[in-house]
Amino acid sequence: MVSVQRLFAELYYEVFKISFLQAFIDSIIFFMVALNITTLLDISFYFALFTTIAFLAIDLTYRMKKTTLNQIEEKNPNVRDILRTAKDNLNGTNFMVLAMFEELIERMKTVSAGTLLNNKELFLKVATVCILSFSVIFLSANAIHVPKSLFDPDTYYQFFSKPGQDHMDFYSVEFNESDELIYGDASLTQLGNKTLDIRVNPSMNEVGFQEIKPPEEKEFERGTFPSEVAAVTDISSEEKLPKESKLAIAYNMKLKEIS
Amino acid sequence: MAAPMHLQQVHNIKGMFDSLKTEIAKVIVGQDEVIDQIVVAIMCDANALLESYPGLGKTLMVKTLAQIMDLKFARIQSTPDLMPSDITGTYVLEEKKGEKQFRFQQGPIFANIVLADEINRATPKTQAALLEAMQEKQVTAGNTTFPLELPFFVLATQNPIDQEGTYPLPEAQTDRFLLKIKVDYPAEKEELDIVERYTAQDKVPAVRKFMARDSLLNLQKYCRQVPISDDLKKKVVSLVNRTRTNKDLIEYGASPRASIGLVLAAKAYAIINGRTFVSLDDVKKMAYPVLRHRIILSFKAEREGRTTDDVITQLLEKV
Repeated sequence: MVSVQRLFAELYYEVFKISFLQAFIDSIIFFMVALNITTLLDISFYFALFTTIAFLAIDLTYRMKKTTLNQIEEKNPNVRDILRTAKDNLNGTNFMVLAMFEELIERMKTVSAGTLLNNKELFLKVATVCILSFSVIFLSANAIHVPKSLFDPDTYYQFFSKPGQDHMDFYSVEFNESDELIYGDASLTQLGNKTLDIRVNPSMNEVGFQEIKPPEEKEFERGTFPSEVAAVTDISSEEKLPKESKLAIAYNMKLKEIS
Repeated sequence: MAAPMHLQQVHNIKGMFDSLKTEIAKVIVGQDEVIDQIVVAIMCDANALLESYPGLGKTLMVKTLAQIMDLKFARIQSTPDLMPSDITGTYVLEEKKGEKQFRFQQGPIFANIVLADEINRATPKTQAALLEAMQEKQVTAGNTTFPLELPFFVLATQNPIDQEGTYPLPEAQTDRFLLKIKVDYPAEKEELDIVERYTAQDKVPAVRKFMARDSLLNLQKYCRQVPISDDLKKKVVSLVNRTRTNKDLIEYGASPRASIGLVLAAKAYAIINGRTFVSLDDVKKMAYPVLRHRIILSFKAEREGRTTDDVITQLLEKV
């Protein structure tokens, strides 16, 4: 039954064409949306490409299963009777049955792309693709990206939190040290405006605050420095220097004296 | 691109029937539906009952059809004194070379298309002889059976008025007619055309023969080959079955012969319209002529003033 096989091959091909066309259009829309997202988020183009390929495969499989003969009949009442008749007369070989198979093949060619697609729906999808294309071009040309701070939860927390409300509960730092180590002696915080009597003696580790004279005003001349301003070490420190370094220092001192 | 072979031939068949209608239109004005139904009956190798008032051109229509199809035409005017032998033929004594012998003289039934005018005016005995010939496609005279030449088609007419002195066909016999065709009066414009055509010329316009007898027999064969879906067959059976179960409107419903006839008529209607399969529209179109003489309305339906066509319309709404 070559003619019957041809008939169903044609039918299957038509169903595939219709399903592929619809899935392809949907995939273009999906790709455009994905491309917009990748452009906005400044992530790789391949993300949009691979997800679209996956979408096309899933959508095509779904549509192939969904587009049955009944659906073709529903959307094309003109082929409903002939499809049913062909199905019930598959084994027929007489002149009229063969003519009917030929007519069915001819009719299915006209059914293929046009009648199963809703023109209004197709127009809307094409318009959507155009809008999304312009959107991608606009975003790319102006290098518009979503700021990274948009993904920082703290940003949203501050935005949504009430004024004066404590925040960062989950970000609060826990210290192991005691409060005394962090803030100092608790009694100091109660000093208030009381006079602080502190004696510091560099050599004795005591400071004689009573001996501190009030500050004097002194004018400096350009190029001269007051002799009082000099740093003197409290205790001569014995640096633990290597022997070679000490020799080098002594050598330099000698050179200074000679010069 | 050229159409595939078988489909192209179906288109040629349609073209042939279109030419046939064009040719008939040279003689008959309007009546397209009646012509279609007569052709359907011929294609189904069946017979039709024509119900019409006098003067509507039945004889001219059938005679023209016979001319176009190159078929032998005969007309029988039924009267109460018409004998069966007047239709079938009889043995006559003739002398040949000094010897007397009986020779069968064929009656008008030995034609391809027979118009039995006002069949209800013939006696039941004569009606039975005609109907037997219709059914068996043969005539028996004495001990000899004479087969009728194929194709054989009887178109019997009845007058819906003037029933005085008639012998209405019993239901069992009307069931043998595939179709009951109703011929209505022409529209005013059509009638004006008829007047103009037949008052300006004294001869009936000549028609062209373009269908051979063998072609017609082949077409009858193709007609039975037209495929129909199982779903549609079930609908036909359901429709006919409902004529038997709807006791509210129908007293006696159609027999299984009506189911066979409806499917066959739908097939013929499909092929003469160039379709390769039967559609629901074909069934609906043919349901009226196939069923209208096979159902008898109930008293309630008649009291409500319904016709058989109204009841068929109602039944078809549920198909």
